[in-house]
Amino acid sequence: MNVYLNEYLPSQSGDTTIIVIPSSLQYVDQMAKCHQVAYGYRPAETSSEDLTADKLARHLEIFPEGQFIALEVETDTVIGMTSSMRLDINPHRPSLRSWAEITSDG
Amino acid sequence: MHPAYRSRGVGGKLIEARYDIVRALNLRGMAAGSLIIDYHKVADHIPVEKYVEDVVAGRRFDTNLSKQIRKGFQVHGLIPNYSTDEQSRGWGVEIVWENPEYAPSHRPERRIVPRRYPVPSRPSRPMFVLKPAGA
Repeated sequence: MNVYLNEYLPSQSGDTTIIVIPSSLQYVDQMAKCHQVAYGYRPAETSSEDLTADKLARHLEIFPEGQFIALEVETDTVIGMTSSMRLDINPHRPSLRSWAEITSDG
Repeated sequence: MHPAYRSRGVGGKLIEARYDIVRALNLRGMAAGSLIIDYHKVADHIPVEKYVEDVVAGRRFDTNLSKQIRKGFQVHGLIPNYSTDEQSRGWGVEIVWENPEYAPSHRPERRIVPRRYPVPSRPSRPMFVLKPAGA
């Protein structure tokens, strides 16, 4: 098991209250950690593509409606997150490129 | 999703929240690059095109892509060198959800009222199961 995962392991009891709500600045640090854990990255494996708290704060500034977290209410812990950006594309011919290119490294 | 909280329907609620915003803002849809995080298990003998074709047809389960398809996303194509994710071998899958309510002439809602999406609780599941000696 990933070392980082051990450090960021909320209660996991299965019977806690979880809600999905719009995110806010107070949660960007937890969102970044949760993103790392979800994709199995170790803290040492940093890359320019990483979703950092600073980038997530910027997402909130640009498109606040598109940022959500899943929060474990009892522990006030982010256990899931999603971050959206607005793009001017035709969904019939979206033609996406690399994640780094589309998002300018997040 | 934090791995310890998967399979509880939380990811589905996160997608639902995004769908609602797309509808409220009268956007055309949602496009994303999906990782295929189980591809590394078979990448040495199955070409990525065949892998994704099987996931779309429901013959193979991918922890990430299968759930997004189940939530209404359609696969549009493959994106080489999408990310540095080793599990997906760098591939991304272009997935699209079209907003069925999109109307070019409609103005979006001027003010979005934030919603809360409760996740129904489920019975506890033990993380580890100890087998009796000799089992």
